[in-house]
This record gives sequence, structure tokens and C-alpha cells, in this order.
Amino acid sequence: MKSQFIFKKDLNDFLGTLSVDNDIYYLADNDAYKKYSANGPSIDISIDNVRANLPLRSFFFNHNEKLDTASLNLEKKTIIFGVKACDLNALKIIKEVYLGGVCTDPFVENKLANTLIFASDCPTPKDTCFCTFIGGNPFAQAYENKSFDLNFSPVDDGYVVDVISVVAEEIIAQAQAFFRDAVDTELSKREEMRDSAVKTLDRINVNYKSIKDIDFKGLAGRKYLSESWKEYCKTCVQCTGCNNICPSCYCFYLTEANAKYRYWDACHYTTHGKVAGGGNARPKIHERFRNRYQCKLNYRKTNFGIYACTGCGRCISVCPGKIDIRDVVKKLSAES
Amino acid sequence: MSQVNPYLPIEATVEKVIDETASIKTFVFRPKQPIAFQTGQFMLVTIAGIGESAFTPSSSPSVKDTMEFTIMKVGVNTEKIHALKPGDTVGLRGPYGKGYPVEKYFNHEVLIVGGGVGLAPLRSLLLTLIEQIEKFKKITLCYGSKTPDDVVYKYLFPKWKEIKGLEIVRSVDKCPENVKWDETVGLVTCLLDKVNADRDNAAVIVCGPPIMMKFATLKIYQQGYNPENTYLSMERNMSCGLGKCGHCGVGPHYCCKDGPVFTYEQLKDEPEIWD
Repeated sequence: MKSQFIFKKDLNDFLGTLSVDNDIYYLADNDAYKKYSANGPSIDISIDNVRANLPLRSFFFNHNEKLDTASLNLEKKTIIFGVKACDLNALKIIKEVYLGGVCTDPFVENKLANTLIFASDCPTPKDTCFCTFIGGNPFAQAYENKSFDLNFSPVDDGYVVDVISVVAEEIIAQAQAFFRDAVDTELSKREEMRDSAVKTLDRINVNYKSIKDIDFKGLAGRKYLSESWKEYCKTCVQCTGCNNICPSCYCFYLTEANAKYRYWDACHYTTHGKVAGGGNARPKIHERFRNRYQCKLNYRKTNFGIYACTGCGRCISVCPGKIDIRDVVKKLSAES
Repeated sequence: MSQVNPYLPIEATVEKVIDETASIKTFVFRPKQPIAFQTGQFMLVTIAGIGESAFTPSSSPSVKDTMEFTIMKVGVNTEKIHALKPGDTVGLRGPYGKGYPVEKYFNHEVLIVGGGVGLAPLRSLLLTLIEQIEKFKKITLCYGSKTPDDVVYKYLFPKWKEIKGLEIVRSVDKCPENVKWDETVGLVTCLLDKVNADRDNAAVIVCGPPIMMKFATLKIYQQGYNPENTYLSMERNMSCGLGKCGHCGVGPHYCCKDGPVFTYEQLKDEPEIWD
């Protein structure tokens, strides 16, 4: 289907028609996903902002959940509106882990199958963003596995809308009143907007030019035994904020309470690698700190061919110790 | 869409409990349905409402209706397991991971190096090998314990020692006075100097506490055994068993799905695998 165009003023009504059959969460002006209500006050859709604070995976893999297959058949589909490319790239890791491997996780699989993703461009990246430095872009691109359904790019007083999935084509067909084919000038304005976003990212990250798209895997592997990890983690207080807010972190703690429950776990916790009897694969802070970098830049790249860091910058924003992954990587790469 | 819940165990009844040492017991479980497994693969044992822990069966896969586990009391869940009595129930989930590729050992010598309760998975392997002992050139078991009291399967060694084609050498780290011990006193690694094995072709299998694994493996490597034929049973925090929960990493591998049996070749270039 050709790229479409919708006016901003029509977005609310478009969502209103979809809200009959779907639970809709949209990116609101405080960088949070809010639940849409057709009867609520005029909504504060801010899909042109950067990624929500909450990582996208929260929709597919709850912070705590009972692993009970009776909960699998959801009546309504969920639509998430305003998903950014960095989160879509991270979702590839979540899918590799939960849908691939030894067996499929039915809980994540079910939620993924019942969710529609409406992506949106990032015209104004913020100071912690660095997606273009690690293979990404500030806008979603359709991959072979079509990881999203629609994409909204702000142009003039509306959005150019790319229609990716079959379900999305049906949605647009049914909501024809709100859409028309996008015209060439709108498409070329979108390209200008995207170019500008990419340039903004270069400007924001001018201090990190030396690590743009370098071989992060090779670097992490070569520097595994560097003594500097101890220095880089000096202000880390093991709060696990970076783990919890990361869109690609997938570790969970499986627990037994006459049923199986799981909670998000974090590799910064001392217990993450601990076995009964006192053994611990990563007893020291710098070992756990290093493990996170190895996981993101080395191990998952080895497993899946993609980095498990997508440059969303959440870990930079959240860190009370002011640790910036870009600084760590830059310092590592500058080591002899 | 798959609706089977891979995290749920099936019920098993405790049939028998055997005291091995002061802190180690062997449990015979009878699952509601037989669970087929390969020697070296592991299971997750659930105590309802308490916890779940990973153990490799110590029985042979050829025994279909029951599974045996030799378990040391080291934590919350194993303490509850040690309190089990015949007739109690547990949950079993698995088997998971990659076991010992026994067919690859055919027509070769097999050298088994075990320490302490690490003999549990090795017993499953040893029983599997004994069942078809004519297929192997020679089997050697080097087993080290802390003291003579800490030897597991004391009641099996006399029978094993009579088996033709199986050589057994044992050591204890120390032997208290008044305790009879006719065999070696020293670390299990010193037994490696006593065995005469074909270092180019022998399959070497190592399982034990991490410190023993480290020094035994390094010695085996120094002695010239082939890392591709050296099989290590690694211990990590294996929770989901399915390569998803992220706890049991060994470099880029997950112990639960890529192991627990790894060749040394797979791991030797990963830094700090022993710590």
C-alpha cells in the first residue's frame, strides 16, 4: 500500500475508532505510555517525542507475572502508538530469546501476537540518544520480519504513514475517511526531516565521533581483561536501573510459590550468578558491570548477529552514578 | 501457537532415599510419566512452594520408570529435598541441555575425572558406559573426595572394581587417623599422573567442584589431552533451563542449553570461566 497521510487533528478520532476493539497505549507528553480513553479529556499525544521512559518490552514481558497458560487468551488486542526504532531493534533481541532457541515462551509469544505496533519517527533526538552510532536510525525501517504495523512521520500539520503489515492495511482501509495517499512533496519533506534528525544525532554525539559504528564486539572481547572496568564502575551503586530500563534486557527470576512466577532480574545483582553452596560466576562489582557490556556488545552479537544495545540512552538518563555507556566505550577504545 | 507451559513440572513420587555421606543423599523418584533423557542432561527438581534446583540424574537413561539424583545439602531447596521421605512428591521438569555424546567415545579410551558429589552425573555416564563396555577400549575412573567418609556410592565400588575394562583409582584430600584408606592421599589431580591413557585419542570427562574442575582441566590440557575430546560439566545458576532467563552464561553460551556438558575447546578461550 502507498504511503498515506493523516492530519494531526484527525489522530484522536482515528484512535477513537480503533479503541472499540483494542486497548490503545500512546506516547504522551511526559515520555510515558498512557492508556487511551475515547471518553477521556482531549488527549496529549506526543508521538514526536523520543522513546518512552518505559521500555517497550514491558508490554510483552511483565515485571512480574504468573506463568499460567489460562491467562493466554486475551480478548482485546493491544495497540502501542509511538514506538521508536531503538525499541523495535531491541525487540529483535527479545524475540530471538523468547521465540527462538530451545522452545517458544508461550507468554511472550501470545502478547506479541496480540499487539499491534504503531511506530513513529524521532525528529528531535535528545542528548542521551546515539542510535546512529550503533547501527540504528531515528526512524523505523521495515525488516523482513515486519516488526511493526504502521509508522508515523511528522510532516507539516500531519503524518506520512507507512503501512507495513496486512493487518495495518485492513485498518487503513476501514478508516479511509482519515487518510489519503501521501504526495511527493510530503515524502521529500519527510526525507529532509530524517536527514536533519541524523545530523542532530551527529551533533549531540560530536564527542563520540571516534566510536561511531566501530566494531563494538571486537572491542568488548579484546578489552575483557582490562583493569579499567574497575575504574569505569567506580560510581556504580548496583541499583540495576540500567537493567530495568533497558529495552533489550531479558533476564528473569523464575520462582516457585505453588505456581511459577517470574520477575525481571538484573545482572548487576550479586545473586544473578550465584549458585547454592556459595559459588558465584560474578562476585565482584566490576565483573557484573563488565558482564552487562559483554552481553550487550559481545555475547548477543555472537548469538544473534545484532547488538543488544540500540542507543536509546535510557541507561545514561537513569544512572545515579552518571555512567555513560558512550564514555565507557570511548575510554575502552582509547586504551592501548 | 504453542500453549504448553514449558515452566511447569510433572509430579514424581519419592520411592527411596539412600544416605551417602553426612551431607549427601541419593533419591529415587518415580515420575508420573517416564522421562527420557540422555546421560549428562539435567533436570529441574521442584519442591512445591519452596524452590527449584538443577540436578543431573545419577541413574542410567536405560532405567525408564525411575530417576535417581544424588544431592548435597547446600541451600534452602536442598535442605527441603533432604527432608523428603518415601511417598512424598516433588516436581520434575526437563531434561535440558546437552549431555555426553557417548557415541563419540566408541572405540576410544574414556578417562573420567570426578570430585566429591561431582560423581553424581558421572555415575549416570559410567553406568551407561558399563552397559556397553565392549564398545570402549578402556574406561578409567579417577575419583577424589575430601575424606574416606565423603566418598559417595561406597556400596557400588566393590562391584565396579570387578568389572573388566574398568580401572578405578581413588584419592582423598586427607585421611583422619583411625580411618582405613588403602588408596592415594592427595588431590584428585595427582591421580592423573598414575593413569596411563592414550592422550591423543582418549575422551576425558571432568565433573566436580569449580576449584577441582579448574585444576584438573588445566592439568589434563598440560598433559596433552585433546581439548576437543575433553568434556566439562559446568555449574552455573540454571533457573529456567531453556536459555531464556539469562542466569547461566559462560561467555556467549548458556550453560542450560549449550551445556551443561561443554568441550574444553568450546570454552578454553573464554576468560575467567572458572571464577
